[in-house]
Amino acid sequence: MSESSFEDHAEFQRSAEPYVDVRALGSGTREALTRYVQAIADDAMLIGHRDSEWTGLGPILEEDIAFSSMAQDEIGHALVLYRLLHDHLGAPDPDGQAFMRDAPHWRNAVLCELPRDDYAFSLMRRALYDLAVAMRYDALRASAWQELAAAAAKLLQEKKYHIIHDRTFVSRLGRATEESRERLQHALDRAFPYSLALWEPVENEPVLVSAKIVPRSADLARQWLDRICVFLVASGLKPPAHPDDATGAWVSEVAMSAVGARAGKHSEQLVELLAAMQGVYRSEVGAIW
Amino acid sequence: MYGDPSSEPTPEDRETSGEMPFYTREWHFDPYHQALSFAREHAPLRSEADTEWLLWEVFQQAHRGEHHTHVGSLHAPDAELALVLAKENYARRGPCVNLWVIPANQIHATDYDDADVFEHTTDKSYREPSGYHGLRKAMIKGRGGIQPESTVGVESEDE
Repeated sequence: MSESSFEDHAEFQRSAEPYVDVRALGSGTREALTRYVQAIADDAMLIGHRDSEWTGLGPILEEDIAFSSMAQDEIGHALVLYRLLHDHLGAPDPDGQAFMRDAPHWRNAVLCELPRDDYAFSLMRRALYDLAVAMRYDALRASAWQELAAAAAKLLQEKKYHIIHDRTFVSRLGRATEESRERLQHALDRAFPYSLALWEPVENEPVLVSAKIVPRSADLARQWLDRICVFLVASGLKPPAHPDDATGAWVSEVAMSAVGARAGKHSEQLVELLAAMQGVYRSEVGAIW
Repeated sequence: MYGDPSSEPTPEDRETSGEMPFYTREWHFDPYHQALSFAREHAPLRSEADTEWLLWEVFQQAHRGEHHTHVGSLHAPDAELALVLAKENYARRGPCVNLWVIPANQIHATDYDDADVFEHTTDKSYREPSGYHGLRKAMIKGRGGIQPESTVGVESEDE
């Protein structure tokens, strides 16, 4: 098994300065930080929910179990981040955040709320998402907010397997049969513009960047685009992007889809998802299981 | 055909067909998973020869230095995917530092009809540690010469 390493974040390295005290930050910075952590927590929560819809329906039994387990991992990651918000930034408890918020209050990228579609789409979505999130967590290990850095280090550990899983399946299916390649390519064409929006910054991100609490999303987006495109091409697929003649850096040929999701602008599918995901909890709030 | 349930002689066939007494018949080592015989015959290590993916046996090592233990089996088209799937199917709960996957068609097994060869019909207790219980005491106390009092650390029979 090959492993991935994401250690080239020269722009965002932990300096010798002490960690920031999150409680002492100005209210504008705290709000921006809440938005940022909520965005990545909501991504994990909803892709976890969508992928859990494969339980019992997976393409083969073994992958059904593996994919479901990875879905649970994501919900676990969301829980870690919701706890951070609750413990340090005054958000409701994790259940309250996950089950009592209506669609306009969710900050996930639309990629994560789209219906599962066929397995090719769900797999491709994971491949695009997992690499992006692993790179984000990797960078966040250098955050000036100590608790966030520690959480990112913990979550990154589980992303390693997710990436091994995605790469193994995508690289084989991309070169297996004409049908498998076509279905993956179709999934890629559909998911790719949405995946760019994983990097849509939350409002006021620059104050977090200058406080060295989070890396600049645009920097990570560029590095991610290079890596994911090289991988997709090696898997027999054609990303809607090309390497720049002069610099060699990959340039997307399509625009970001669904801009505004980090500020609460979502598709109808999120409303339907939340009805399914929150229904039981809301039917008896506070029930003990 | 070797390992093919349809053409393979039944235990009754084997016992009645030859003139040799039953205890001289050839040992019969079946592929552990006989449904793979078709794929085995046509292309032993190519998954497309089978109607489904190859079967792999999974062995898990809980801690370094320990034996790998058989934990189950799964289907996968090749060894790398078998390892990827084995991680979530078998190693997601208990401790694990290492996994093996082995093509099930590479495992050969004895026949349950031959299970009688493993039976012990005479006293084989000398092969077990417990078979030696009390032997040292008997050697010390018996045949004269050495008194029990002079044997430090050897428990007496009374205890």
